[in-house]
Amino acid sequence: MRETIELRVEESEAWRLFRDDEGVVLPSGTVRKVTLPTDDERVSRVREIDRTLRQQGQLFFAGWRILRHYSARELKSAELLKLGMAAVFEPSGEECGTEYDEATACTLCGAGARQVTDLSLDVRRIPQRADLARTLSHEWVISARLADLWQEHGITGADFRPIRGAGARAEPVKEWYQLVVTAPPLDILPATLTGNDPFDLDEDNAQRCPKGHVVGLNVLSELSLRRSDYDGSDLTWTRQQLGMRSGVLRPHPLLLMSPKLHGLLVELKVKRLDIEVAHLA
Amino acid sequence: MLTPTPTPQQSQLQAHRLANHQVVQQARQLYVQRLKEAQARYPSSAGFQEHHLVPMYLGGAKSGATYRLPTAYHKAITQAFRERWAYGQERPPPEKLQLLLVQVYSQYPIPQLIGLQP
Repeated sequence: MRETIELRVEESEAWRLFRDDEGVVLPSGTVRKVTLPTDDERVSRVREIDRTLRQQGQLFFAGWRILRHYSARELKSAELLKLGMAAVFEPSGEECGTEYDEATACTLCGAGARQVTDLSLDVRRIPQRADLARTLSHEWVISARLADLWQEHGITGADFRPIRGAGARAEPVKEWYQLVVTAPPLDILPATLTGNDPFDLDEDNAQRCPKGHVVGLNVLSELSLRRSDYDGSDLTWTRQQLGMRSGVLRPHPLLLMSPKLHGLLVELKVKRLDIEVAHLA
Repeated sequence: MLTPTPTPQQSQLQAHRLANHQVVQQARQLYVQRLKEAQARYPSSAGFQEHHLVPMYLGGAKSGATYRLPTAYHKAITQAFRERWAYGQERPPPEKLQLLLVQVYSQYPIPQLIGLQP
């Protein structure tokens, strides 16, 4: 596995660490996207520079992303894989009339609000080239085409619920389903690194739920999961959640899939997925 | 006696007012410049759109403060946010969100907040 980190650096400050010809200046001309191997010696200096600038009320970098690149052999030999959806859209279900019972949510972290109606969405806003996508609130949708193929191939752990168009009397749509997980969840083990970003591990636990529902804003390492929780389903999920309740954003579990499901997604050329190896221990 | 010497407090207040006035004037000039750039970049974006002061993808409330902005300017602000913080990425922690807002709005001022009608 080869690991890189992508940083969105303020162009006016990029000189502090990078040569003029490093990275790509984005169209506005004010942000530079730089990708480095995580073992590059300069990565450790990012934190230092960012802290100094933050004390002056400025940013060195804002956005970041860790990219893990696997060989075909590594992917094939994995016991379980994290399934991330890069096709994201809004408005979210809540904005289109989907109701949640907030009384079931944790009063500290907001995780666990139960969806009590069918998912309502403006389906015109679902990225049409994706077969798997999610709203900003992490409501997962699957194309009818892919759902049929999953059933045909005996994919376990998943169920497909109707999606209605926005509006009180909207009928279920034919092209999309809400993807829900029926498999039991897996515990995220402490070996998994979580935090605000790779340089800020949230040492004061501001973004972690004291009751354990939310383990942080982001997962920063590959996932380590409790082996005894895994029932062998092709689609499953984590018990603990990530993220924050804020506006339409909700804490959410992470999706996991078997090598069988991964193989099927590769074979079907399903696009815009973020795949990572997860470890059972 | 007709032009008394100001007290130190009065002098300090006057200096603050002058500094604030200069900051506002600079922000207004920046807005005019950025608006021109945005209109050149998005020539077919006529009209106005509502802009959430804290974008919803960064955790802003749907009912949060909005400002009516020229569409081209709104697109430029959206691009400035998304170049810094990709759409769909988990929201930033509160302290970073605040810095991100300051960074973007120092480059793309909200006209209503500096006494301009868009």
